[in-house]
Amino acid sequence: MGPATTQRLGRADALFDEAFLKKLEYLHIVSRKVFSGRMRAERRSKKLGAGIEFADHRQYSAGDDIRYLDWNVYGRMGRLLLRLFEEEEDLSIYLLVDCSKSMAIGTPSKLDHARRIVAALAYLGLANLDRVSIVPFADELRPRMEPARGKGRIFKTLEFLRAVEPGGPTRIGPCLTRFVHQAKRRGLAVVISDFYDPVGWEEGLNALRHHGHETYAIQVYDEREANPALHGDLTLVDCETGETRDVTISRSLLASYREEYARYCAELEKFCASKGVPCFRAPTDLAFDELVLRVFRAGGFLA
Amino acid sequence: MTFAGPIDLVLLAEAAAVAGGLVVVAYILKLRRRRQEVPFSRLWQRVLADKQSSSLFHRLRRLLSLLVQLVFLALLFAAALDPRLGLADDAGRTVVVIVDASASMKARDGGATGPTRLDRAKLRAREVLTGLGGADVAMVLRMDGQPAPLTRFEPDPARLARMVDGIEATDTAADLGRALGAAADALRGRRRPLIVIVGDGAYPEAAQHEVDWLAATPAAGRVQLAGIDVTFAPVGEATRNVGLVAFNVRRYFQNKLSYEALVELQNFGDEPETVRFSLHAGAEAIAVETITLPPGERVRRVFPDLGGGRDRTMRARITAQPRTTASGRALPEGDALALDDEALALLPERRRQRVLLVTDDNLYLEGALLLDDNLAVDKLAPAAYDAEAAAGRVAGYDVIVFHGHTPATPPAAATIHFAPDGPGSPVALRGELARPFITDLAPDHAVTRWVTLADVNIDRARVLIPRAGDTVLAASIRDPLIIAGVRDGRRFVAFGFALGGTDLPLRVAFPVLLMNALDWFSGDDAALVSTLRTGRTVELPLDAASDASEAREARVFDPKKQQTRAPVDHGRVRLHPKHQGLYQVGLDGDEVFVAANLADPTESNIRPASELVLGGRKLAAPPIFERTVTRALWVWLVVAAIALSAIEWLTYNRRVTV
Repeated sequence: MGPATTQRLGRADALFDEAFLKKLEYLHIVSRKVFSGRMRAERRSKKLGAGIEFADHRQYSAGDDIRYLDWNVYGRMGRLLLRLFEEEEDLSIYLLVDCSKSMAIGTPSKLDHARRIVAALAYLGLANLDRVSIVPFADELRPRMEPARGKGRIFKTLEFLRAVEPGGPTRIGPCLTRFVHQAKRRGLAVVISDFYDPVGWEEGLNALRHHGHETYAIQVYDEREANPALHGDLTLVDCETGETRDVTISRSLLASYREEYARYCAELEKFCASKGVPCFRAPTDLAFDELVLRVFRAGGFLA
Repeated sequence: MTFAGPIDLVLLAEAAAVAGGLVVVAYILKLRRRRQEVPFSRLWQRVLADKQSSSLFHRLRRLLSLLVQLVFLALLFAAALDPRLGLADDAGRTVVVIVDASASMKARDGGATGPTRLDRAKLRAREVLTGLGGADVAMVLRMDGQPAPLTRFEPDPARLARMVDGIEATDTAADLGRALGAAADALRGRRRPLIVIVGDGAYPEAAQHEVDWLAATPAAGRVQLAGIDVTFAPVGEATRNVGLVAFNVRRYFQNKLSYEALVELQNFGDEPETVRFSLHAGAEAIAVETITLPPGERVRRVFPDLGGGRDRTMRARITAQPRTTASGRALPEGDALALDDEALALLPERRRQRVLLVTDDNLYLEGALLLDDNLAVDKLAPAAYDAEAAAGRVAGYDVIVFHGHTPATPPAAATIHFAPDGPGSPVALRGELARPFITDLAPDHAVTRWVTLADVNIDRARVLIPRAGDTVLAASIRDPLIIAGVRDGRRFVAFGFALGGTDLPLRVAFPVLLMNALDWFSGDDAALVSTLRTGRTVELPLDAASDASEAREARVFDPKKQQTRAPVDHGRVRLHPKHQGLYQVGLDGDEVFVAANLADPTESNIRPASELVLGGRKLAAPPIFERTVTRALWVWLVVAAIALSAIEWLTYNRRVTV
């Protein structure tokens, strides 16, 4: 990112300051799988072709480009073997953002926190010439940001994120299932959500996995959700469904809730671990740069 | 267990039922809950689903909370019943502690710097009070000239002891009869009554006999002590005292410039005493004498033809001289009771009176006034009076006698009017009586005392109409003929007849009448006692306190210059001097000074009584109180209620009982 771009960005939005963006510029997204792509990019694909990194040999057949014959092998062994190279191609990054009503809770709201994470990931993807697409969802898929590439698209990305409004219940399974049917190219799918889906999030994450997407899960939460400072006689109202429940908050009840919340988070982490889906926890009170630079790096998300 | 609470049991039960009902209703009523938005209620549902299994226990905990509240109420109402452990309540005594605070209690047994007898009596009274049992109640009663209870019946010895500490002795004699009467009245109908007298036993003999121990018909003026245990705690040791038991001064009737003093001293000790007596007019000593008194001897001294000294305040002082006792012990100067070593008296004011006679020649009138050397008499013809008065030349006279003339404007002096008439008359007139006889006379008035007017012949007389506050000195049946009173602060005497039509001037009463009137005008009342006795209520006549005055209280400055109030009734101020010294009594600018002295041989006789006999019965020493074991439980019940409330608060706030 050049100085001019950084300056423009700093003026345009306060999401990232100049220093933070400079740090991000030298980070690279590491993909643990190689995807095929039509355009050259900085990422190795499974497709063998006109790259520079040697991959393998195969028997020469008529019509092959003789420039790739390995003459050294022919000289030693008398066999015509063709040198194969890994072809570098571009990567599709899908940033799936939960914008259900529950994401509006928290100070700052979980959605704002998620916006910043998505903006950072999008910038990194754009900077690496990957095809970055942002897909908001709640009970259904919302209008998405069409795949973009190059740093120059970062401003449109930020504008898109700003326009995302919270609302509706969380339906991770149907939304992600529909997404995989719409997405023609496989790629890296990052789900940023609080995962507060009464039906469950397993179906959605499995759908991504089964359709060949390299899946990441980022659980955004507010610390006060884990340790609510409630007391007295209350009527609890679910912000998404409107369901009510009369409770008298006692210390033991709070302790039970904390246990239940921890269990819920552990279930998510356990599921992700069993399916090879990296899962990260992103509390809203964690400084954003710290989150991106330390947690993501530690989790293997960034190179 | 007994219940001593003052609230009716039924009423308390009803209140408890209502309060308990309110608590139950409050628990039944559903509270309005606060709404709290949560992002994912499914988590809460899971938690609450686990808790559902213990809902029975939850209900029990809520029930426990209700029970805690009901127990709290029960404890409070139980405390209101004032339950007491033990059965010794009925054995509690009702005690009246009479602390002698009379003049003799100012005696110092241990020398001039030792504690007073009152200090010792307070100590003894505190010992009695601190020995009270748990069920005993006591009252403290101060005994001096005006015995008064200082507390109600109290169970708290500390509070009673504080009241005892606040007692101060007065310069009055102990009124044992009234103190016993007040104590007996307070104890009537109470359980196990007991009177403890703490004092030196210096009480009048009469009071000690006017006691009835049997529950017969109570005799008037006697203290009924039937059924009451009376004990005596003696204090005091010293006996050496010489006191002034009487002191008075008076001017001579014929020579107001000279006066004589009467002094009585008595030696109350067991040894002969030599005292130095001195009499002072202000700061000036006018008589000094050394007097030796055998034990018990009372000596009277009259100091005649005294003069000199410009001060009206006369002070008598005695000082016991140092001596050696029979056992060889040296006694210093002074005795145990300093109070009766000094006495005060006030001389009537001495001044020559200027008298103006406004009359034509009247030999009898002029002759009567010539009798008194203290008078400076001038004479003026009636026709010339108005001109002289207008010229201001009648000012400065103390008394003006009008005969045959009544000025239109009252002069600024005391006046005597013979046959007044016209608008300037101090009294109104009505009708005329022919040959009236004087049938009624006021023999106690300063003007008409020592005279008789029964056989005085009067040719014709006008009937005088007195105003409120005037005194009718003489009347014919019901028609006033001679009136005395006050107009604009000046005294007057009005006769309803002229001297020309009566044989009064020929009578001996006439000059006496005139002299009495002049003395009354000057305030020189020969019958006025120059000293009062402390502890005795006296009535002082004050012109400003006449019936016409609306004032019901007079201002009094006591010897310590502290201002108090004294009631005024029918022109007289009722004064009860408690301290020896000079009292200033005033009302509307009319000020009088009176001196008060102890002058009481009973109080000066400080010989302590080791025993006291009342009504023929020797009083025992105060008993040692047996401490009872009763214990009030209400405090503990309240503490338990508070503790329960605290527990409930804690458990509620920590959501244990919800």
